[in-house]
Amino acid sequence: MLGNMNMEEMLKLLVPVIVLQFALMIFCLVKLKNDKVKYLPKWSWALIIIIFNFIGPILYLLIGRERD
Amino acid sequence: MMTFKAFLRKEFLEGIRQYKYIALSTGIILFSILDPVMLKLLPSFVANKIPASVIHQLFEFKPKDALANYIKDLFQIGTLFIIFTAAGSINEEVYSQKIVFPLTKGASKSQIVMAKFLYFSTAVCLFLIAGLLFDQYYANLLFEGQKIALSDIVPVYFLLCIFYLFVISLTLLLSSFTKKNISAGILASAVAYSTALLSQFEKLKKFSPYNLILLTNDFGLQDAKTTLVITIMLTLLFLVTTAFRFNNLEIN
Repeated sequence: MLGNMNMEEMLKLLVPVIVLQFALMIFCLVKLKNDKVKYLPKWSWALIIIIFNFIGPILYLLIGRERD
Repeated sequence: MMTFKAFLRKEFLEGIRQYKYIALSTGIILFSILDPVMLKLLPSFVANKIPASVIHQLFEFKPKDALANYIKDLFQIGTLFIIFTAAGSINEEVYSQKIVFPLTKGASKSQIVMAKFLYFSTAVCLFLIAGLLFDQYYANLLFEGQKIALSDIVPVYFLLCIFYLFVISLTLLLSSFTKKNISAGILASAVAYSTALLSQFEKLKKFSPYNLILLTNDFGLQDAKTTLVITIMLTLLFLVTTAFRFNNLEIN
């Protein structure tokens, strides 16, 4: 069905994933600004969130935040 | 029963407040979309490095290959998301002293463990079916060959659910033995991944819960009986031990 698609058209398939990644990254960076963090300093968490797609933001949400 | 209902509700609200649903859904559903697309794009990525005639032989994927790839990534990365989401559930209750007030009001510790298990199991099983359906849709859309039917998904879903119930019970158990969620997470990951190592030995394979992941390739449950029984028994054993351990924990 999609056998004749070129690279540009195929990349369009990735758009939802890319949008999701950016939304998650920005959400986590905003949270990082206001949260208390643990294990690492804030700048390291910011790097992790930016560098590691999906895994970085989720890692921060799961173990990086100081719970209330 | 009041404790069970109250804690189930508490876990649900805490899941929203602590973004556990974002973590679980990302870990489980993301690869179901990403994997088929990346698999489809793979020949284009390596087009300059491999002769065109070889590319077709090397990268001739069928929808079922895309599903197998999703399950592989789910085990390798999704398992981490699930473990780290559940890793703090017992130890944080104890060491942050949140549990003191409910206990003074007569809350049952065993019911707390059951509520936590049910909460994580329900969330994981719901995201798993969503992930499998997304993967089926994308795999059938992107690849030529025999399509994945809904009836193919059912045994795969069942095997994955049983495996992840085992992983959740293991994480809860280790969470009751550790003080920090990161230690519980690392320990649980080590044990969960070592089940894959165990299944490398042909004679031990059927006793390893990871065999359930391997059996998803067969799209049936014919050979899964022994592994299913052992995995379910281990899950129950871990839950009983968690409840026992939680009951005996000294809470100040």
